[in-house]
Amino acid sequence: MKAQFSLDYYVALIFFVLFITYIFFRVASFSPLYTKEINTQRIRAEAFQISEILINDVGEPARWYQVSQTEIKRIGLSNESLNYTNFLSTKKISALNSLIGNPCTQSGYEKIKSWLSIEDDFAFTLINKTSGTTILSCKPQQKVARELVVNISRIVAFDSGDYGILNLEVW
Amino acid sequence: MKAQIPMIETIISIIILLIVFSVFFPGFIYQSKWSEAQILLKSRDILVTLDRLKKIWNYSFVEDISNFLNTVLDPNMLFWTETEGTFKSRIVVACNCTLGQISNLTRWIGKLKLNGREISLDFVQANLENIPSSDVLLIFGYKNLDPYKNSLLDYLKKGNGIIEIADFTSSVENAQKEIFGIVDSGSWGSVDYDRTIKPLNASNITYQLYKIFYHLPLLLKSPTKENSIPTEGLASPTCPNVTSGNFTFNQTAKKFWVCNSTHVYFDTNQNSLADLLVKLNEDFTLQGYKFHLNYINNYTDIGISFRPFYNFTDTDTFQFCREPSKKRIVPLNNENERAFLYGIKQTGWGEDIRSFCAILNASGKAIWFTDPTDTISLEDDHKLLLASLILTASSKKSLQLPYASLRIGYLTPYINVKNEDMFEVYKFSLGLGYPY
Repeated sequence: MKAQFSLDYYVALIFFVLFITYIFFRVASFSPLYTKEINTQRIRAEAFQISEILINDVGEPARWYQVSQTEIKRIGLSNESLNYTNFLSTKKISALNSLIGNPCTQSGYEKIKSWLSIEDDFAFTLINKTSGTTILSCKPQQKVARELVVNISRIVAFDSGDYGILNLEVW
Repeated sequence: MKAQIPMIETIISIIILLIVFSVFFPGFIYQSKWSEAQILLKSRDILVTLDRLKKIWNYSFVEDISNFLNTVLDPNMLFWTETEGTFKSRIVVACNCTLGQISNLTRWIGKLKLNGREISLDFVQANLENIPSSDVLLIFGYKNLDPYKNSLLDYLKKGNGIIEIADFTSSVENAQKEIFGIVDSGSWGSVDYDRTIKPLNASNITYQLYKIFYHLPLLLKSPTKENSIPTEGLASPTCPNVTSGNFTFNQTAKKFWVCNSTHVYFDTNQNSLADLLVKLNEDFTLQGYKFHLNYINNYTDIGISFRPFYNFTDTDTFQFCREPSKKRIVPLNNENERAFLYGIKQTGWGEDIRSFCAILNASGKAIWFTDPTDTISLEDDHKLLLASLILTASSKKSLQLPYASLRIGYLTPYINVKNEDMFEVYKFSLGLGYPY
């Protein structure tokens, strides 16, 4: 008789098992969502940083359009003379166009990827809103499945007096 | 009964456990605030871009910003703009005055131009029981304000201003004392001229009024078509068209002729012959006072601003700042630094302040001004002073939020400056948001 468990024991055991099961399923259901959000946040941060380098950095060297491609360490489209935020140099845009093409070639895409040290894939277009023309466009040539895509748009002024918008996608 | 008690305990325990679970393990909500961050980033980008394009001033006061924003924003994004810290382009003046006075005020100072933008003063008739929505209240002529004290104080609390143009035949009432900070005292005595006093520093309460008076261009009409400009001591000019008008101050009328978009000729000695050529944006001197030619507007009018220091004429026959039969008004508690215009008596040992003509309250938003219209017809210097008073007291905030409700909305401020005629510093804010 002593070896028998009481009703209280069974009830407590059931509660315990239910509790553990509940915790397990809750954590299991959170986990993919957390992982996805963490990844999205990382890509969002990267997209913002890429856009910042493109529009608010002069590059290294600052007059990278005057040196050979092998000497370019980083590209940036900001006007190096005035160094204002959101103020792009049309000279640099033209130089980048001639380096990578418009729209860019696969090798041009790879060049930008290395100049910006980007691990993720990306695509961007720079549209002159005053004239309505696309003055820079670059994306990878091969088709890829994209699960997480982050879009960011930056409004900029050109030193020619026009204004435009940079649309950037990172995945 | 023994078996029922554990069952009840079990049920209670389950309920407590469920409540505890829901407290310690709430439903999963992940808020990244990415869309809010994008709105803020977009607002900042737009403002910086507009600054780079040197368009903030235009979009603040002259042009509609919608055309620009529609090209860079998502179609479902709502936007609005606000300005704060400087005059609106349309200032509504609730005028407690007659229709004749409104007509005169509109003709004198209804249209102004400052830093390249037009400012219109729209005078609407108002009673003091129910003050209409406006930027400044102008009470033209003496009124006992005691019955309206609370509504006037409420009006001031909203950021609006009050100007009273009045002389007092009896003692200043409590409402006047409280609102304008004035009191009656002593006798007038004769004065020689009226002078604007330079504030000691920019934090002085009269500084804004002083700055406006010495920078705001007054538009002088040139309505008369002429065939040519008669000159003395100057070469006869070749002008495509000629129009003429009068610049009146200190009891004199100086005739001027508009020759073209850059040249204006003045007759300085009232012999109907031009003897002074003034080019656009040049300083010039008339009757010992310095002026500046700010605008020549297509043969219709010219914009002239005064330069320090200017003294208004006040004599026994031309009484602008004093009226011997009326009460002498002084700032409450002898705070003479709140007075902008004084009547001065030149004495052998210096200058003696005899009268006060424009007194601001402690906040600078309520101004008492002596009523000159009962003794003289206003000249251009008086009109400029009146326009400066209205601009000083007017509400400096334009709120244009057109949307009753937004799901998300952020207002991004940007400080902008303009310095063509006068140094203006103001806050331009761009609001962006989503309705759903």
